[in-house]
Amino acid sequence: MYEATAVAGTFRIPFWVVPSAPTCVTSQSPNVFWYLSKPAVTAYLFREASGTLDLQQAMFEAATDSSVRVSGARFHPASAYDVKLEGAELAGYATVMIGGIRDPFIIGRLDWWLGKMEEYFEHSVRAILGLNPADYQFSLHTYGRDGVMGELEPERNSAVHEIGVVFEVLAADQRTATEIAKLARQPLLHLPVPEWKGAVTTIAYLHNPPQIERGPVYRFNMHHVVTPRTEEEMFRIESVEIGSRVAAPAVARTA
Amino acid sequence: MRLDRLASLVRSKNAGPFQLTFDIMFIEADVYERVKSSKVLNASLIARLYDCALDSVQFFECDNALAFKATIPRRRVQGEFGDPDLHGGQQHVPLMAVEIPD
Repeated sequence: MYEATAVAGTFRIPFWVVPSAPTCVTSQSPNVFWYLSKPAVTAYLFREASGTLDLQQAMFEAATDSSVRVSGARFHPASAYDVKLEGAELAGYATVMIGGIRDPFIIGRLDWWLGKMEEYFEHSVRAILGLNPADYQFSLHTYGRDGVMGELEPERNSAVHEIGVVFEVLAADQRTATEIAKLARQPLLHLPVPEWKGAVTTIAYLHNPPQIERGPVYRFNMHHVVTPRTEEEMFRIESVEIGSRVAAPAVARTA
Repeated sequence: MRLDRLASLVRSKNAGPFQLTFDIMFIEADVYERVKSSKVLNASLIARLYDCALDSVQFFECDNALAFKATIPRRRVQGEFGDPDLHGGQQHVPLMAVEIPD
């Protein structure tokens, strides 16, 4: 699949240049590929850092069964020089636990049961580790119900016979994340189910111990276009002179 | 008829870390035209299916590509804690069931 994204202002607009599989190039002649292969069919202008990518006259032609020749794309330099900045930062350290729920009584009241479990869990974390909900984050993905689409799942009430559970916690350091996960381990495993009278085991953990340390987790924190006063302003330049008899010291210059 | 019976491809994908995009593609021009003239596919439909503000939806009818394209903001930035779909590739399913009148 050939896909590309381009910057338009400070956000991205997607476009595609060929169908989902290269074999479509010739095997499905009426496919979008051919319609894009005509010039000026799709007027797309993409504002990039320092200029605009102009695909209005771009041609997309089948070179072979599995490759595409793209020609006619142009780049119009902008009057100002600008620089795109993207950045990420450390969000914390995560620990996960994977398990499954098969008991129809639990599945039948899953929201209620997980709500009780979360209540118990948050209380334990506060009582034992002295941490408030603001000090960490946790998520419960319930595969088989809405694990993939979350709040957007239109069929979350469909009948299912098994739920895959991924519990994840994010904290400031790995040890804390794991300590917090350990406090979710027990209520997920044994929180009572009203339909059963007596102690029950409520989740099938995949691993022993169930918690897996995921390590550092990052998040996007910057996505900007900057127009500096000069092209060099934002970059530190170091020049080193090589070849003189006496080694010259490295010269650092900040524009 | 359901959209997934008419389209050659319905898919979702990240468009950068902050946006999610949908492609609905056709092979036959008459089928594309039929779907287009039904006016069922539009920005409001996307806003409703994906619970986002109408003015946050970008919607394109690409006649020469026999395709519709829509782009919405991601609910969570790609890879952010709790994001359930790193590549955004499994978010197209509600579109599959969209009914296009005969």
